[in-house]
Amino acid sequence: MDSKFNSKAESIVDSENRPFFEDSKSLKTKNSPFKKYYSIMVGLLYCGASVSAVFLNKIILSRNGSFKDFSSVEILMTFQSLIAVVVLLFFRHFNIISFTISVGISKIIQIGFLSVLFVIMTGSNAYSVKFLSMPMVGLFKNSQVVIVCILEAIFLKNIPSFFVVGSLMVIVLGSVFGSLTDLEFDLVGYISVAFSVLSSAFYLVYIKIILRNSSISEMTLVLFNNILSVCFVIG
Amino acid sequence: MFILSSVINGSIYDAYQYIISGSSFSFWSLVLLSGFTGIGVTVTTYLFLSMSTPTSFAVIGVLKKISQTFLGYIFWKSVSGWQNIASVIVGLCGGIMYGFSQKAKQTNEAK
Repeated sequence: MDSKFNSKAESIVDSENRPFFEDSKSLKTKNSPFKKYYSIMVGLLYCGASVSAVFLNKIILSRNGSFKDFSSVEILMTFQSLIAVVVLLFFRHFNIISFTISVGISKIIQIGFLSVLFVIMTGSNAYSVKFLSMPMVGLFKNSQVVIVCILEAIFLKNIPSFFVVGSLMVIVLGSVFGSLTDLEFDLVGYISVAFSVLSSAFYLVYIKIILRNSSISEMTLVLFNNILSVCFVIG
Repeated sequence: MFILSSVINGSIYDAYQYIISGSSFSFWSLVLLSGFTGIGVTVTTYLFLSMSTPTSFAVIGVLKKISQTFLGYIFWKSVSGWQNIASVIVGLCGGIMYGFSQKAKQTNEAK
């Protein structure tokens, strides 16, 4: 009886001390009726965060706006990464999220490659927007779904079904419609956009490879990716 | 490399001058907000990829751009011409088809 009571008391204490978020596995094992909708919810949150980030960056970096004297993408990127590091460490300190910060040199090298891809992706994206019109960049970026699907089939052995390939073709066709009136050719722009598309496709597939094959949690990846990105931008 | 190019074109000096002399409370608030949204983007990216596949994430990225175009049309009337409307509708159909294909895949795996 006593042991039953003690184990119950321990589990209550344990659940009180447990952080709000550990990793995606802790989310999946939580007993919630919305469990099967987690990936959709995370996808919607990503859309919200990404659209807000685009609009905020546009306001800060706009050459005609209130902050026109500040137009350095690199400094803004560095600030964003530093804020991310501080916030993550703050949350970890107060046990809101839990993740390990002591990782081996081999894992640092793995995350370093991810950060290199991230920096190439961001830099080449900025160059492609500079040399090509937005609809052209949009067309190539939307065609990225096909490249990601091919890389996923090669590296992760996820062979797409006929229906998946068909739906990706419809998506590409949709972006062709949007860019019909803006077709143009600029060699530097095309090279930049090719780098941007390939690096971001490799970036997505590589994250999946790391998360699948090694024991690094998502938050550890976010933390070290931000730290190393600052180093690579400055370097 | 990036910092070197910004030093050469002078944008880093202008930004430094702005930070030490002309920066305001609203500027730093926006930078802070942009930092928070940046964390949101990376965390949700990694979480989504751990739960799903890179192709699904790329499709979500396309649907995000479509919704961005749609919002631009609603708020700023920025989309004009039949090509843009066709682009939004066809792209959305592709996204819905992909969603159905994933649903069918899950049902098959469950069987």
